[in-house]
Amino acid sequence: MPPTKTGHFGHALMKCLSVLQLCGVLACLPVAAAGESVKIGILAYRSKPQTLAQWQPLAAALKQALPDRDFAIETFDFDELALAVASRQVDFVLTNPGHYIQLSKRNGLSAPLATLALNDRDPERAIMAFGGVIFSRADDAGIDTILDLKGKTIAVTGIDSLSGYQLQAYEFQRAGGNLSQQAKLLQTGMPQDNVVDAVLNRRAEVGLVRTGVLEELAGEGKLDMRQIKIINRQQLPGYPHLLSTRLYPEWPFAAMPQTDENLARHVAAALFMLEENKAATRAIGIHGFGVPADYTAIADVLRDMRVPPYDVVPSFTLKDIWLRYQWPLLAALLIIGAFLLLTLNLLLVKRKLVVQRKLLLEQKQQLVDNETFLRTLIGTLPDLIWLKNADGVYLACNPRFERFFGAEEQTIVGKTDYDFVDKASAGSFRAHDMLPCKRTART
Amino acid sequence: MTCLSGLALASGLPGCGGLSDRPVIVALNRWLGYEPLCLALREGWLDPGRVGLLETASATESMRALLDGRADGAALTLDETLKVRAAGLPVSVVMVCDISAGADMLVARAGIRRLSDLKGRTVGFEASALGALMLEEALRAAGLNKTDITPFSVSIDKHRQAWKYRQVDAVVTYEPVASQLLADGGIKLFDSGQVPNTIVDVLAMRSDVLDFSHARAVRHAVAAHFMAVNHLYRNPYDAAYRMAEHLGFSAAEVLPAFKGIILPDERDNYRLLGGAAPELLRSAGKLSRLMLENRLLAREDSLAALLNPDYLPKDF
Repeated sequence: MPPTKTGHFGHALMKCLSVLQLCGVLACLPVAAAGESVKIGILAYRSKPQTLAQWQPLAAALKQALPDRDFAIETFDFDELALAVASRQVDFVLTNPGHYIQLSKRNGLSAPLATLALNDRDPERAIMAFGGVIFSRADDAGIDTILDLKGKTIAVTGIDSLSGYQLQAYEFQRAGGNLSQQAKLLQTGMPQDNVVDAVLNRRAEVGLVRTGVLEELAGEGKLDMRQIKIINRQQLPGYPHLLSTRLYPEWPFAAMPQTDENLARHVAAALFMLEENKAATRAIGIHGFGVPADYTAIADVLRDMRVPPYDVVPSFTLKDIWLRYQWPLLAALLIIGAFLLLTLNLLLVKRKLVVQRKLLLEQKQQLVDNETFLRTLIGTLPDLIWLKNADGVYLACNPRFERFFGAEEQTIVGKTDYDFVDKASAGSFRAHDMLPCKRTART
Repeated sequence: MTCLSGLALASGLPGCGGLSDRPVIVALNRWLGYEPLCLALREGWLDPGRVGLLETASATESMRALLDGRADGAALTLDETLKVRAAGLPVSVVMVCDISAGADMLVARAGIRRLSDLKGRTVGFEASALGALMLEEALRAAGLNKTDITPFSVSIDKHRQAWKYRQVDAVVTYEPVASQLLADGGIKLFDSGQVPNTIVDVLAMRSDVLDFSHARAVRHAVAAHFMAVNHLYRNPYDAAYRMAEHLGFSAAEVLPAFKGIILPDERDNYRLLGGAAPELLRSAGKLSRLMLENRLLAREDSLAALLNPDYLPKDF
C-alpha cells in the first residue's frame, strides 16, 4: 500500500513519541545516581594507561572526601572525550583549556569548577600556567629561530592539540608566518611521546609538545636532554619548565550540564582541599586545584588562529563595514563622485566639439560651393571683370580680362594699370575707377 | 638592562625615519605602573628605534633626566610633573599610567577606631606633595584641621621604625609598607580609594616634542603601553612571569602587588585627560594649591596645556 499523508504523519508522530520516551527514560536515570560511580573523563596527552595510573589516586581521594559516592577515572584521546561528553557518558571533565572551550561551546559544560595546579620547584608553590615547547635535535644546524620552522617537517600529535600544536602555531603566526601552510606536519597521534620519538628517529626535524613533557621523559630515562635544543626559548626565571610560547592557565576541571549541582559543589570543595591530602597529590604528581582561572587568553588564541570552535568566519555585514570604515569610505565615494562628474563633463564638452566641428565643416563646404559658383560665374561672363584695391592694385580678374591684357591672372594680380598700358590710358582708367568712390564720398 | 639596550639602539639611529618620524626617549624608574612599557619593549611591541627607555633609579632621577634634556619625556607622579613645570620646563601629560586606589593609606594603632579619634594624636606622613595630599584628604574626611593633630614628618623608609617605637599614633603610608603595618596590628582608616583620580602616575612629555616630527613616536609609546596593559588583563599568568624578574618579585608576587592600583585603559584615559572638563585637571588644581601651601611650589601652576589627550589611541 502506498503511504498516505496520514501514514507519513503517524510515522513521524511515532518517532517523536519514541524520542520523547527515550528522553523521559534518560531524565529519570541521572548518569551518576547513588550507587553508580561518578565518572571523571580525563584527556590523556601521555599514554592512556600512564594517565590512568597517574590519576587513579584522585578517585580514591574523592571517595575519601565523599564516602557515599564511588568515583571512576576514565582516560580518552581528543575524539573519544568529545564523544563521551556529547553522549553524556561522563560527569566531570578534566581537559586542556582549548578542548574545554570547544566542548563547552558544543555541549554546554559548566564554567570551570577548579583549575589544575602543578608543582613548582618549591613544593609550597603551585604553577597555574603551562605552554608549548618547540624543539629540534641539538645537532640540527639549520634551525635556530622560530622562523626557521618554514619548510621543515614538524611532528605534532594532531592539529587539534592546544599545547602540542596550536600554541606553537600561534607563536609562529605572531612572528609573521602560517605554520599549517609553510611547514610539513607529521601527525603522530597521542601520546606526545610519539612526537619526541619522531624527532629523535629523524622522521621529523622539529617537534611540538606541552611544557613538562621533555623533563618527564628525561626523568623516566627516555630522553637525554643533550640530544635536543629548544627553539624560541622564553627566559622566564620563575617558570620551572622549558618553554617556547606564552603561558596560559592550566587545565580546567568542569562538570557536565546534567551533573547534580549538589555533587558538583562537593567535588569542587574536595578538589580545593586536595592540597591538604599530600599522599594523593604526591601520587598524582600535582600541587592540587586552585580557583578557576580566566580562560579568555585561550579563547583569544583560538579566535586569532580561526580554529574550532572559532573556525567560522564571523558574519560581517555591510553595516559593520560602514561603521568601521566610515571616513575612508566617504572619502573614496567623494573621489569617485568627483571623477565621474569630471568624466561626464569631459564627455559633454567632447560631444559639443564634435557637433561644432560638423557644423564648421558644413559651413566650410558651403563656402567652397559658393566660391566655386562665383568663380564659375565670373569665369564665364563675357564682360571684363576685375577687382582692385584702393591703390589701384589688381586683386583678381576673369579670363576675358586676361585676354584683354594679354597676361595671366597670376601676373596681373599685385600690379597696377601702369604696368600694362601707357601712362595716359592708365591715368584715365584710374580716374574712371575712382568715380564710384567719389560718388560714394559725396553721398 | 633590556631597557637600557633599547636606549642604546635609539641613540644609535639619529634622525631615523626622516622628519616625520623622530625618536623620543622616555625616562622611567622601576614601578608597577611603568612596567607595561618595559614589558612592551621586551615583547617587541615597543620599537626601540622609535622610543628609547632610559631606566633611572628613582623618580627624582627621571625628573633630572628630563630637565637635563637627556630624556624627552618621563613617567612621573602628577606632583612631580607640576614640579618640572615649576622648574621652567613646559611638559604635558599624554597618558595616565596608573591610579592609586587604595595603595596609599592612613594606618592607625588598634586603639583608634575612627578618623575623628585622630584628634590630638601624632600622625606621621612623608613630606612630599602626595604625603601632604593624603594627610589633608584624610583630615577632611575626619572633619579635622591640621592644627587638631600633631603632624610628624617621616620618610617612607622610616615608617616601620616610627611605628615600632611608637613615635606615631597613625601614619600616612603606602605599599608595601602599608601591608606590613596592617599585618602588625594596624588598622586602615582611610585609603586613596576614597579620593579617586587624585594620586596618579603619568607619562609627561616635553612640549617641544609634541609636534609633527615626534607625533608617531609618542603615539607608538602610548599604544605599546596599552598593548602591555591589555596583555596583563587578558593573560595575567603569562604577564606575571614576564614582569617578575624586572620588578624584582617572584611570579606569584606580581599580581597581588597590583592590589590597590588601577591601570586605566584607553577609555578611562580619555575621561581623565580629554573632554570639556577633564577629571585630572581638577586633581591637578587641588594638588597645585596644596603644594603651594606646603611650599613645594613657589606659585600655583596655571594648568595651561597640562593635559594633552591627542596621543591616545583613537581605535579601541
